[in-house]
Amino acid sequence: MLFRPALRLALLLALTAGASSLHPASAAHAAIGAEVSNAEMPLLEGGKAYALGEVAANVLVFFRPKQERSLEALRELAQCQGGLSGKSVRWAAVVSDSAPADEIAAIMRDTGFTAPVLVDRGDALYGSLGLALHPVVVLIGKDKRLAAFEPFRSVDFCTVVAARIRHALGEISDAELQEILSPPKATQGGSVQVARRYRAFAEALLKDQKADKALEMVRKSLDKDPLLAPAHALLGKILATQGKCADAIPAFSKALELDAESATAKEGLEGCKSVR
Amino acid sequence: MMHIRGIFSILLALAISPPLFAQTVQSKPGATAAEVQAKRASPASARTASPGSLAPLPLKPAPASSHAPFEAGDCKICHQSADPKQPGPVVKKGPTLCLECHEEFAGVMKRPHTHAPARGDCTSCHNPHNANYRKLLLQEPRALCTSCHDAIAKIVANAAVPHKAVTSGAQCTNCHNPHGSTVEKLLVQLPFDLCASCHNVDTMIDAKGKKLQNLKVWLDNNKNWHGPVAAKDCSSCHEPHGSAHFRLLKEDYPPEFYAPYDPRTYALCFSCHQESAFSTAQTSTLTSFRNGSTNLHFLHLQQSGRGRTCRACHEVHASKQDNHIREGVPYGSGGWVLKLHYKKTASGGSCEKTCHSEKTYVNKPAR
Repeated sequence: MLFRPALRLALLLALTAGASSLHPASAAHAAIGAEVSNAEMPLLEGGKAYALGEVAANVLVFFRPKQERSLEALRELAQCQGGLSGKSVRWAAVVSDSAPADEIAAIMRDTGFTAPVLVDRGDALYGSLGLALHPVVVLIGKDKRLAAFEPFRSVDFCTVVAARIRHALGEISDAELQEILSPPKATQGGSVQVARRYRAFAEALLKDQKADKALEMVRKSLDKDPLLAPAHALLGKILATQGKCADAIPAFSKALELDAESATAKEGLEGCKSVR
Repeated sequence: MMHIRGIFSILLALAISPPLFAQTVQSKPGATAAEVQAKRASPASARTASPGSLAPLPLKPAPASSHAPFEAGDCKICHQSADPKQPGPVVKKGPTLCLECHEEFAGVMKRPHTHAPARGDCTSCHNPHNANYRKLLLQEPRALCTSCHDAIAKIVANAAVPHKAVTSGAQCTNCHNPHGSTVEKLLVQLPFDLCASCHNVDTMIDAKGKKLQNLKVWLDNNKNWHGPVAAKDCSSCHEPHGSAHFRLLKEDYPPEFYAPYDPRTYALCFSCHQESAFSTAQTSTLTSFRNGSTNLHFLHLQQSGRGRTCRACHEVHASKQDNHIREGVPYGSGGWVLKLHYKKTASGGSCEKTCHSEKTYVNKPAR
């Protein structure tokens, strides 16, 4: 009886060192794109179920008891599940048959991760997928082929797993997936930002009828970023307020050169030309 | 008369002090903006609040940083009155006021991960007038951050192996964006990108003067990357705030190449890898390093009198050879490096002209 499932598992993909195409080789799993056979496995709570469902994304979460990383992973995935509810996704936890059932049940309860628990007899599925660690999320697409392996990571685990699933569902493109896997640097500050602050300060000062101080601040803005169109426009506006249209017109012109749509520069230029 | 004037001055100071001398209140990590505000309003918080007043500091000695509107004497930019002695309350509450000039932070605060004090009240961390620290901070970065993040404070204080990224320069903000970020834990980048931005020189040394690996060069020259490295997750193995273990490792990792097998020595590796894969003599599933069902990891590690540790065969970050097999291992006391000529084959692999003559293992049926 057990021979057929074992045989099916034995026919699983070749154990070459393929890995995600988006990172250099990490050989702790089988080849991406390889076909996965759908074996029937015992459930922790009794009965049996197939490893894969008829969905667009099967998510198998391999974990083990007495491992802090497994607990962390399941807690994070519990939160992740909410964001993917209603989609064609089937979650399943996979544990070794050597793991005590009561411990596994307690872990599922305590972490809030909701999924049937498949018991992997003799670690057959684990071995056939070429896994070498826990916890790991294995994603199988609707074509029953391996789409991704994601071992637990201490930062952005749910973000990455959710992105992988959404990619498998066709909701995000390769480029969007890559953006999530390699997010841009979260910078702040720099000369451009400081320039914008000085510009905003100058605007507030002009509003408070402090044209001289406003002029000082807008010039500081342009020192930081000579290409800041709103700063050139504001410079023109301040100079025009002071009755210095001859100096204002070049500032308005520069603003329009940098930003042809600048309303402040257009109005100011028109105003100064009509005065002439 | 002088006496009365003195008393009057004191009374006047006390009358105008509440809005100017409001204590900043630190909230614990995870606090909502409302909790931050509530804690500020709480009388108890005034007694337990971290040092750092929002009032203008004296101008001598010159503060390290000064807010442009304050420096220009333009109180009315933020306050109801232009009178510096009685500017009155601010015209808008919370970050809304600050964002009128610091408009770029509107975008920053739309990032997926934002800092509760930044969402609630910029003055949780910044003095809006002037400060003894750069960026108008109420304290130096690490002291400010750890006034809430006390668990991190303990790690840093107790670390036998400190991390310079935490203790020097911009300290916490070397790695974290205190306002908002695209990465969890307010990291500026993923761990690997952050770490590699410093660990990419040949000149870095540890506290004992030992040279640290130039990770960039190593990874460029060794394309078989360990999983956590490929996942850009240095903090899988390293505690970036400080650690009890060498190289900021989170757990024990065998420092020797040869040692009797003791699972406690491999706590770091076993935080991911299954211990049973190394202590089970016969298996066809727990490891691919087997000849049939003879577990070759078991054979190598558990050899009586000459057990190999992980580092005897494996590189921890990256290697040229498959399965993170290192090129060579030091052998004996003469400085000789024994090459590990590992070859992956269609049915398993082999090691030749190494600790032993060529030996081949088969872990897959022949096609």
